[in-house]
Amino acid sequence: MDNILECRGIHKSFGGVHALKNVTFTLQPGEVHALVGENGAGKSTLIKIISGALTQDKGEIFYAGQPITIGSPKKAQDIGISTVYQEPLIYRELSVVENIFLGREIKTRRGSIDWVTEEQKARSLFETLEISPSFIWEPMGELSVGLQQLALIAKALSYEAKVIIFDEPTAILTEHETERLFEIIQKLKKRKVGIIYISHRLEEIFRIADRVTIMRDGEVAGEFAVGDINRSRIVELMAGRLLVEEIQHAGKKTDHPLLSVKHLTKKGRFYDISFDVFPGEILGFSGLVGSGRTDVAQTIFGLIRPDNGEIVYQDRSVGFLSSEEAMNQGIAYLPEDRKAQGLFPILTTSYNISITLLREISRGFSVVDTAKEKEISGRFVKELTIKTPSLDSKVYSLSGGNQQKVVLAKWLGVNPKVLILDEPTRGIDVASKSEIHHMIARLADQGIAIIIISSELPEILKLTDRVIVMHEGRITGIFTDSGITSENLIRAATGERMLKTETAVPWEREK
Amino acid sequence: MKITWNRIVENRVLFLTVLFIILFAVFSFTVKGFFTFYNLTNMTQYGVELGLLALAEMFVILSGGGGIDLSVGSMLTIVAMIIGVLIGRTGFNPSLSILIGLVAGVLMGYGNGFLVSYTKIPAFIVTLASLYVYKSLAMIISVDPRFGPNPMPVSNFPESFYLAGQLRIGGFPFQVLFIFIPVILILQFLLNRTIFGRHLYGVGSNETAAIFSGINVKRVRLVVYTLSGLLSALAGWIITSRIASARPDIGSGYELQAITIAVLGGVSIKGGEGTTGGVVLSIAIITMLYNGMQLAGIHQIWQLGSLGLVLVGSVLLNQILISRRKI
Repeated sequence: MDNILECRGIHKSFGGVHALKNVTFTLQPGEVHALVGENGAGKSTLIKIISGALTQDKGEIFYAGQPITIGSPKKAQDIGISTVYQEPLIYRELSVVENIFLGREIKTRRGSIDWVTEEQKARSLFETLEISPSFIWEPMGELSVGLQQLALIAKALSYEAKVIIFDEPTAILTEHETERLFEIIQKLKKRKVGIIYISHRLEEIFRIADRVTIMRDGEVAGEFAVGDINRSRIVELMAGRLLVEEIQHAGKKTDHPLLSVKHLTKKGRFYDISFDVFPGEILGFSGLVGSGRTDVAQTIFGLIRPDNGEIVYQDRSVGFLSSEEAMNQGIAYLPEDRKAQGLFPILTTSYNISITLLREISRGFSVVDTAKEKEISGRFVKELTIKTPSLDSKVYSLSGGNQQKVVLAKWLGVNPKVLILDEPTRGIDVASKSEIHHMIARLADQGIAIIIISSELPEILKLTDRVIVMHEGRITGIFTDSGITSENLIRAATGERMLKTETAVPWEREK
Repeated sequence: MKITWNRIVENRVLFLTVLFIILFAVFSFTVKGFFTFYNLTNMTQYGVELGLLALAEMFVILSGGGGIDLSVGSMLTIVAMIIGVLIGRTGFNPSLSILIGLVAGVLMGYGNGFLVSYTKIPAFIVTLASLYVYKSLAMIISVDPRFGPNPMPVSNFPESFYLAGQLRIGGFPFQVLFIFIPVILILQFLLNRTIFGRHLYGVGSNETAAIFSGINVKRVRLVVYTLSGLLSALAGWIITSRIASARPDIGSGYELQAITIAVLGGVSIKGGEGTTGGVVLSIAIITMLYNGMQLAGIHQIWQLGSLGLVLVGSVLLNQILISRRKI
């Protein structure tokens, strides 16, 4: 059968970094073609090119046999390529019908909206999916995520979509909703719609996909008919042979844990999380974005109140009620979103560094000793080689890597005992990244217990003594030493339970 | 030349200084009686009450999250009436009466701050409501049962009470030397040298980052509204002493003028940005503008219009400056 979509030799780079190298991808009508790969493998870039959000540097795209330049999301939609994102893009206050026809309303002769025809059309769209259209006049915002997705699928069909891209559609669906989605995908297949399906849940691929393309480091690592491949082979191809130079450091100082988390649960976010951290140890948290790692960290830092479980810190059971309290006790948390959570962009470098240590550099009546402030921030700028024109430069004018160092400096100043780093090197240049990695190792050697949450496998492989992998709010794997391999991490991150390692949780071993 | 111009445009305080000098020169040369020792010292008194309110707005707006205090005029009025009724009608000890007035201001501000910080009601709504509640309360306080149920002004104060608003020292008004300037210095110190000041800028410029940095955002907001109440109370005391009368409608319309002056002084309505220097200059400019226009024989009805025009100009400029900045 002829391809509905064909990408040939696609190249794309961002500022000298190759995101896609010579990628070829084909899709037939009525086929489900799954796309898998680690974070940063290039899936999103490829999808953005196909859906018109980005343009390739090199390579050709053929649509229904014709060479085509897509160029904009609007054009992609007009020619029949629609995308259903993980978090549906909707107008919450508008009804389902209004959402479907937004921007191309059906008009009566007098120029007003022809609600009757719109409703008829919307109904027939849902009926072709064998969904009862009882909810089409409800505001989108009041529907469940599953129904919102259905509405967007209906919208895609209203464009006569020939290609529908599903970007991790099941990540936030309930089991029941997932089943319904699969049924609908079957119906779309019968209507000869070509489907590109992205998911980190490998088992889903074997249920609904016909073909699978595995990407790694911006290249196609393999393309198989689903019947010709098994799960572990996919994982192998995703992992590849990562060449990582490990950074040496001393490891844990004592066998007495500094912080223990016991059976911590926050419904809907994470369940039954237990682990220890030792002084001098670097403990990694691996897993997919949204697997609950950040929520666990923020719970320890007093930003989220757990439903159940216990946090033991320095042999005392604690439950921090605020970040202020956690900070005063020596726990530091470097948040994942630098701009939104970590920095005060319109304020100065020295302000940003000193904000957490004002108490230490103040005299009576909370008067800040500005000389000391300058001295301390100056010292950090030098120690962390932060490139800034002056201490008074506004932080927004610094580069991403230097901004991240500023956030790091802010937390180092408080001399933390436990330092939690959430995606410490996301979106920063290679040189700064390496500097930060070495810095983390040095800090551990000073006896700080370090928890590092990272979606980048090389970072985890390079730095950690022990890795906990989370999947959908639960721990699915704990690895040490030679057990820390990209393959193991990917297996656990995609939902395989790998908790047989005897390094599990010490107090459970004692029982 | 171009570099200096850029610096003036981008630095609010410098820009306002230039504007102040130009305005000063224009009035000095064109308006008779402007450039005299008497006028220059005398006019400063008219900036004090509005100035205190503008500084109050600066702190509240700096705290971000849509922070605004629409009730400053009403708090001023209530305090004026409390002091007026206590001293003028019941003959209570003047110093204690003033103290009671100031405490009332603090409590009213605390009320606003509590609602803004610990409920999810936007500051605009909280203080709009308290604007009316406090205003009504001021009128209720002013009622003198001997003369029926209507709001009544109070004006029979002892001589000593006029000291704060009418005494001159070397030509300079008492309230400028002994209240306004010290308040400005204290606030400037509070903002730039204390932990509270640092926290305030942090909360205003990025609330989330402030929470992640262990700053108690609610407490910071509670403090600024309380401070706003105290500054409004000070203004209420001084205005009563200056005009020798406590009137139940005295503060009407002051809130919006105070916000205008704060914004003109470079306080970003989004919070986190603004300096005492800018606001003080802005107070000086507006006070001088009103005074110069009055001496030039321009009718008072033009005053608010000119204030409005200056505001639009300043916000427009603010936006141009922000759009030039890359984030």
